[in-house]
Amino acid sequence: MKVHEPRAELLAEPIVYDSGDRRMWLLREVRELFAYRSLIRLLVISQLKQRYRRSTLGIAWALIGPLINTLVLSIAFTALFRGSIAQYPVYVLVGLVAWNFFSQTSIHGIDAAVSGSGLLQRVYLPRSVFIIAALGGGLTNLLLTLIALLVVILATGAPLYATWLLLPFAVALLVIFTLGITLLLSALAVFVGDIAHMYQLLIQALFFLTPIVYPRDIVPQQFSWIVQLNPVTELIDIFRALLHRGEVPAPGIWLTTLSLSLVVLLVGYTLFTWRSDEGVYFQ
Amino acid sequence: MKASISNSTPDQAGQANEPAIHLNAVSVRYQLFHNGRPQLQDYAAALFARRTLRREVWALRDVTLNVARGEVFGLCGANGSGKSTLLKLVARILRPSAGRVIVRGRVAPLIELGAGFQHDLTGRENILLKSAILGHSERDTRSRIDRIVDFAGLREFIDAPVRTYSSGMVARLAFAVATDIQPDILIIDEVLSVGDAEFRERSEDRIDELRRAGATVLIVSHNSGALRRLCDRVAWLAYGSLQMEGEPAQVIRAYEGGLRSESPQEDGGLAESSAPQTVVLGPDDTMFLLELPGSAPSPLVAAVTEHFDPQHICPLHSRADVLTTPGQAVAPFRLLHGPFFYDQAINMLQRAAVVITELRMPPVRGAAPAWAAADNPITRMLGQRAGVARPLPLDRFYLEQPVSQEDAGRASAALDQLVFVGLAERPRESLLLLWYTFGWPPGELPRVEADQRLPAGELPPADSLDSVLYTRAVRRFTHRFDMMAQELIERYGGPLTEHLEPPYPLELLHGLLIARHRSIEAKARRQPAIHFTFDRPVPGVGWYGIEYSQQHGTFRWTGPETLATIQLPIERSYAEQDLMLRCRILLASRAAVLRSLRFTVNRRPIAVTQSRSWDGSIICEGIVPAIALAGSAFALIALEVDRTEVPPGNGAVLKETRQLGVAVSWLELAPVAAAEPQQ
Repeated sequence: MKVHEPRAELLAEPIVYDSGDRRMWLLREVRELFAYRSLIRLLVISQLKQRYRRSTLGIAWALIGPLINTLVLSIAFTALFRGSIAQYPVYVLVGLVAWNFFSQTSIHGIDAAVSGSGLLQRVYLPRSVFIIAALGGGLTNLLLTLIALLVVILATGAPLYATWLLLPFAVALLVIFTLGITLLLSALAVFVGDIAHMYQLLIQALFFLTPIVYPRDIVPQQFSWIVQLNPVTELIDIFRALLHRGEVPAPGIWLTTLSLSLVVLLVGYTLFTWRSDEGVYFQ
Repeated sequence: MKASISNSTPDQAGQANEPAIHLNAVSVRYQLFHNGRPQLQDYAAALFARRTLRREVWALRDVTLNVARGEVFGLCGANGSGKSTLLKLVARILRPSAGRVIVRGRVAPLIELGAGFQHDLTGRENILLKSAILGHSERDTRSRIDRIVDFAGLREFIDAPVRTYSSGMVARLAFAVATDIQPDILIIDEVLSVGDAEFRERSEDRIDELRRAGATVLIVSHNSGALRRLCDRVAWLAYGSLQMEGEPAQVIRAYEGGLRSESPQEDGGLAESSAPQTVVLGPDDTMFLLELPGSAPSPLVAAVTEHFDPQHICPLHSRADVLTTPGQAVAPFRLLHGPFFYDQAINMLQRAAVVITELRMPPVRGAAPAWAAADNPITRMLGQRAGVARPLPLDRFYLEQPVSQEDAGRASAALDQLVFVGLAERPRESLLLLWYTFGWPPGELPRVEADQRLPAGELPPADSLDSVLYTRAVRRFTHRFDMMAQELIERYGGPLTEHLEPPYPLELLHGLLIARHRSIEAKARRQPAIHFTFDRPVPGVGWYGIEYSQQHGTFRWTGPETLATIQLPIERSYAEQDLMLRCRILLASRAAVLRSLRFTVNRRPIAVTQSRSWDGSIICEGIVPAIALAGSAFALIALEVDRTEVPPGNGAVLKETRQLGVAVSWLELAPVAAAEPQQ
């Protein structure tokens, strides 16, 4: 029954928690999340397991789903958009890759944050851990759908551009934006239980208000502002530029989307922290 | 989120004189929504119908505490007094709404042991999960997993889903994971009353081991015996503020004295929901009556002094020597009686178990010259009762100026801690509540008129401290009075009083109060309990001599025979009713011996349940049917085990070579009714 000594590195670095010390809180949260990486990994795995439990093909569905989607959409719309879009299957799948990541991660993240808040009242965990885990699950799915995209590109004989190498930057942008939105809505969802349901409806509407299956320029003039204001449009367009058109987006586009995403993240994070620090609980 | 975990330099954190846990003026505020998670229509209702959506509850107020490295620190207090909130602060689950918490070292929280378990996963997967929740890396956990499984004793079940486990098995697994690595700080929230006796024994051993290896321990327990034995220091919390802190025996005595007056509350001690208190004064308790300055003798003061021997009343204003040397001179006095604005009152207050006062409408009170003192001690006193280190910044002008919400809240909380607050303007009601509170026989209800000296000048502003306190006192008084009236009517009233609503006729309540007092007296006469402690000769066979240990106190072993008996004389009335047998077992030579322990009374087997808290004492409880004692003047109680054993020689606690059974510290026989909690 010998209790083991703490590991050597723990002895070397005494841990001090000071609730009054709020310097560099963002950095600290990142460091805390890193310390809990094992938990995040486990959460991501259990989340994937849960999603593909009871299916013979398992995680292959993450690949098959987008492929079938692309096939169906291509059959339906290729004739319609033949003139305006080259390589329609690639066009649509690139859009879906980015869109699916955004919509699934945010919906799942809000869910995870709300259902995880019970545990947060019983044990200490970095407060954003469930949202980060949802993000991890989303990223895993994103990787798999990228494989599906490669399959489509090879199958349709579409060109494979060198601009693929810039993809990590586009993904980073999307991650920052998605994380911000998720934090923001999770914070609100605690105050208004309806948020999660409303958001699911909103996401459905947004899918059609974003040029994913159709080209941007078919939107009638008087409605184009909706598409313009939709922040997801620009993010998806960066993906399209890199993977579908083989262009590098202009620095201005990078800069505006990056600053927008960062603002969303900061607002979301601040609200989320404020909410969890204020001790808002239900009985 | 803004919480910080920083790695400071070793000599910064390693200084021995730095406390392991430091709480500086910490307050915690919860925001509670009325109906769970609010929906949109609730917000709409709040907007249009001006309903409040949530309320704030202060779970802790201005608590300052230091726990030194390696210390065993206990927390006692009623349910809802803020103990668990304090633990959660130290475990980083909560952040303070105000103040600062510093925790130096790695924390192992033994609170909410089952939190985070996933019932569809196997035991092994859950070990990894729970360990990750505690912040350990997976690789590290995998290297320790066999040890954890062995300690939990779940080797055969470890690959089965946890939903197939019993709750005891889950608790064992959780405990094993949480205590596998030596922590710097161990937080215990009475979690160890789960699992079977054998596992509890092992978990106690492990806690002891962690403690001896230098862990600082923070314990919350309702078992005052355990706290007294285990802790180096104990703090007492009530209504979220620190009442007392220091030597365990002293604090626990004060707590248990106050316990009878403290009503457990779920919402952190809001006066609005506080039930009327009932207080039983013990022979050593001191009461402190804070008298109004410059007031004529009120019926309330007369009623209080009536219950004390004139020899045992110390009027503060006439005993200067008491005031200057408070330590010695106060001792003989049961009632301290004086105006509450004297400096020395502070010293008295800390010693008195029970503090009562009577408030008067602010303008009248404000007219008393003592309030003009620049350094007004009532503010200091209220501040100290509320656990504030500094006096509230208050002077004569301040009384008439708006106070900050924080100071007003603090002073109100201090007022809430007074056991009884009467109102000079409602002398008859005050008297009734006073008699009720202390269970004194109700005297004549005097025909006094309310003392309605109307203010000479203007009323002070509503948000001056005086007005805030008085308003609070009135609300609290009214609420308690109504609760008392309802209780009296429900329990002692007849059909005529059934639909009575406030304002209640005071004469009627007076009559009911008399009925209550008669019933309490009758009960008290009928139900004395026999309490036998094993520090005197035992009228029976099969016992070893008196033993004493620092950890366990006085006790006796049974053995070497398997039967030990004790014969106690019983009252005649006992033979007519069921009795509750309770017995405290401190130690057993083997767990198996303890499991085999059976009780008989007058040769009739008694079904007894054993409940054990983690300090090692087991309370056996069972009902002795009246028929077992019928026609007998004695109860022959026998403790029987199936064998006696020499305790394992390498045990740290026992170095025995004798054949032993169990070690008993006391045994009790009482009517079942008396064992029930008093209403």
